[in-house]
Amino acid sequence: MMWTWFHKLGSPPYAYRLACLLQPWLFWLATALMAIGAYGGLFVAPTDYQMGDAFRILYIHAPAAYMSMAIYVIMAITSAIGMIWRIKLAFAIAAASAPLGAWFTALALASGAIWGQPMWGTWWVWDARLTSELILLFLYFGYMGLRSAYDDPNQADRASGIIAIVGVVNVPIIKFSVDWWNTLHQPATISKLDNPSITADMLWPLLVMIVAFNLFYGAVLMNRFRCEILNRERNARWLPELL
Amino acid sequence: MDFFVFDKYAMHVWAVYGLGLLLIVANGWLSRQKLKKTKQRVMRRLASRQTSQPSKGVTAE
Repeated sequence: MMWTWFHKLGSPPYAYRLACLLQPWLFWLATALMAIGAYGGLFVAPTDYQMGDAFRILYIHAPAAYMSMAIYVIMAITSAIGMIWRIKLAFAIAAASAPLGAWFTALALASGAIWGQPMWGTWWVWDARLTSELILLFLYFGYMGLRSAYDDPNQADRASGIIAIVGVVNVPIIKFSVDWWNTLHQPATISKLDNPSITADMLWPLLVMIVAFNLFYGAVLMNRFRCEILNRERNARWLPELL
Repeated sequence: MDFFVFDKYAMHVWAVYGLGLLLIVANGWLSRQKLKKTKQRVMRRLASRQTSQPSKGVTAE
């Protein structure tokens, strides 16, 4: 009885209806929080004593980098669920997440390069953090490329699921690369919320932006997830009722 | 407070925020377009399937 709500999520019509219902809420909440976070990051947070105003890049760079890793972990977990319990919608979530994960990874790399140029004097170094993040981008490309190589969605799910599960080993490497190796990239800023290395007036816009990026991911995922359901269930009897 | 001039790094800051905005707008728009096109394709397919199926229950004598 307790897990009834969870089992319902495996039903395509129920999941489709839920995605329709959630999408506008997630989108508008994300937009509002992004506006608040960007305002806080650009105009409320004080200027950093060392980096000057360049530190404001943090409010885009850090949430994008966080999302790039979080989305890959979600893809690995949902792919594993799909393979173990044979839930097709779990694969659909992984497939719908991949393009957005790649976009966030590209944004993290681009914003890092734009930040690195004035701070380090170079756009790019083959530093452990930067290189492992670049590998993550290639993993996203590999996942999407492999999916598009198959016509049969079941085969595509299995093959790309293996990439997602095997590739997730790269995520802890990205996270701990700044601790394991001597890198140019700085260590984590908010590894512990009770003892962050930035002041509260610099911290709150960052937390707001992280929440906003998560909600935005949710909003775009709902649209892409519905596309996946429509493609997979195109012969289902319930489909004409929902369209 | 001067809103649009930070310091010598202003261009870097605005470039990153511009990229962020581009990602948000592009992804929001692309996902909506993809959903719209998928819906249209599925509806066309359903419509063509209904017209190609022979109507049941009516037999020619």
